[in-house]
Amino acid sequence: MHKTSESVQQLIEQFSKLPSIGRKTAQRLAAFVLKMPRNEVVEMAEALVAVKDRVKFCSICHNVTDHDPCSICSSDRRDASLVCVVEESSDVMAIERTNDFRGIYHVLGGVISPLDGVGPDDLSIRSLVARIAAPAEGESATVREVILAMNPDVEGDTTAYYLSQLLQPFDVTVTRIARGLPIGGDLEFADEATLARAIEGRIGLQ
Amino acid sequence: MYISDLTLSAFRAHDDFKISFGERINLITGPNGIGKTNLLEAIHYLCLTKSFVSARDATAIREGSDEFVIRGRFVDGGTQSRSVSLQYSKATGKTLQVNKATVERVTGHVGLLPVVVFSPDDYGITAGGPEERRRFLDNMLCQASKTYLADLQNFRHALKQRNSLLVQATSHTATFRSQLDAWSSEVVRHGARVINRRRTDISLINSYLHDSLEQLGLANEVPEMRYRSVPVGDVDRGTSSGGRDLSLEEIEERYFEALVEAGSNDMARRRTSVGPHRDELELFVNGRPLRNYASQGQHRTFAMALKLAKYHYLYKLCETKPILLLDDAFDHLDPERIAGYIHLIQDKLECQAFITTANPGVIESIVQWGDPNRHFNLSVMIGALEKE
Ligand SMILES: Nc1ncnc2c1ncn2[C@@H]1O[C@H](COP(=O)(O)OP(=O)(O)O)[C@@H](O)[C@H]1O
Ligand SMILES: [Mg+2]
Ligand SMILES: [Zn+2]
Repeated sequence: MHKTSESVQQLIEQFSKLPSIGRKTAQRLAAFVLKMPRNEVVEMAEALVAVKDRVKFCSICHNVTDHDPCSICSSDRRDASLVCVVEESSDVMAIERTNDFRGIYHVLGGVISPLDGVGPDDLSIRSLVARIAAPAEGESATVREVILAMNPDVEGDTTAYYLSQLLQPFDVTVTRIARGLPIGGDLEFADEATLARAIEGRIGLQ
Repeated sequence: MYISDLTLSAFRAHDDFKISFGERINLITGPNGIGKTNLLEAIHYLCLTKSFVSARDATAIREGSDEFVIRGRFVDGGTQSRSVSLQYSKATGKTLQVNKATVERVTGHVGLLPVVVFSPDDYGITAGGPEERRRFLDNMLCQASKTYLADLQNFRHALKQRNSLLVQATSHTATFRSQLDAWSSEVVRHGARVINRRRTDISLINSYLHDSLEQLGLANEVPEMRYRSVPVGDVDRGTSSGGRDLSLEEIEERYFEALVEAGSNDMARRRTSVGPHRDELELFVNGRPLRNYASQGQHRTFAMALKLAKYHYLYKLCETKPILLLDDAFDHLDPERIAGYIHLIQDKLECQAFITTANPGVIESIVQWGDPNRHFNLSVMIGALEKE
């Protein structure tokens, strides 16, 4: 057993707080930081603080942004009648990378999960309903379609169901993203449940 | 399929232990507490990534160690071999490796190495409460079907969320009711699939149960497992002979209705009262419920028959012979019965079997020792290791 410094221990503690980082990985990250040049460490630390100080949330879609409203909400090249509802800002980035989606977004900030103490009031659901009931200032078109793009897991599906019920009184089409096999992926590596469902939900070609 | 080699480190009583098995009957003897059951538990870990002894993996780590490692080599059809290793550490949890590659989703592994455990506790399957019978049924369906495994996991997770909501509710506002509705719908989506699979497979299991009793020389006893699920009620063919086949959509509808109906009851008790977690499986023999009239001996025989039926069912659906783990399973039986079971395993099933016992007399005298059958005396093996 060799003694380590208090500061290294603290850094390990901090890294362990991050999602999917276990004790071992945290130790490896801390060891890496120890070997990094000082200026790079400063850059990293500043970037961490900057996201808290500078980044704001768009008052329309709740996506992270440096300016409010965000560049997507304020763009006149986007179709404001098509709103894609996602769990997190990272999902917006993922869909934006496709370069295919021309609508705008609404970021919930999570999913309904009683086990984690998260209910509808902890998510930006009221503002979603408000957007559909009456377009916000700066939003021109009325919403025609809401795409529910939550993850296809137990909480994501339940949140989608909850929202679809909530939006029923409004004159708006509600859709859910399709689930299926990854395109270009090997069948061999698809998880068994996805594969089995894909076979169940097969479609005719004639 | 059979396991040819097993290596244990820091697993229960075994610090560092290596053993090579025979392809058929492996008799493991030695005094109580020497570590016989430990060996069977280790094989079970490699097959299903969990124990049949304890639900807490940490208890299997040898006292004074931080992790255990189990390694095994499985051979299929005499040519293909698969090395499986399972490591459990207090710090990083479970790591499963197959042919040296880490398996990310443990569920993908379940069913590849089918296994059936026989133990004196099986008595509870026929004599005990419905929970034990559901566990018996779920274990076999999960090994046979990965969709069932996924559906069951999702159902349990959704149920936990719904119950958590019921516990947290302070007042029954409209928002609460819509949330409850949303969780009901999710519980139903997965739960209906669980019910559907259980009811369709019951008839297959029944036919194997019939065959098993015949193999045990009890052709006069006509067994029947009857499946009862409140959401599908008596209309369903799976639950009543006069019924018709309900479609998955119909089961979903009925289950959702049942949840709505039970709503105020659930809210008062803060628990979900209907669903597959409350299903009942009843065992009838010659039209009479076994639970009410059978003797201890009959309970043991029928429990054995159920496990045999599980063997046949898994062999059919996994398309590979399951490994049998018989943990002191013969200890309450008379010599004639024991001989019957041994002949069945040797001559009819022709699969790999592990038999532990502290009283090996009868078995020792029936089986021809030497490959493919092997006899291990653990106290001698462990004693020999200590001398080195
Ligand atoms: N985590 C553990 N660490 C060390 N020894 C253990 C552990 N768990 C169980 N044992 C020991 O294993 C032995 C039980 O082994 P078991 O396989 O049940 O014996 P049997 O041969 O009677 O089947 C007991 O002596 C018990 O003390
Ligand atoms: Mg034992
Ligand atoms: Zn925005």
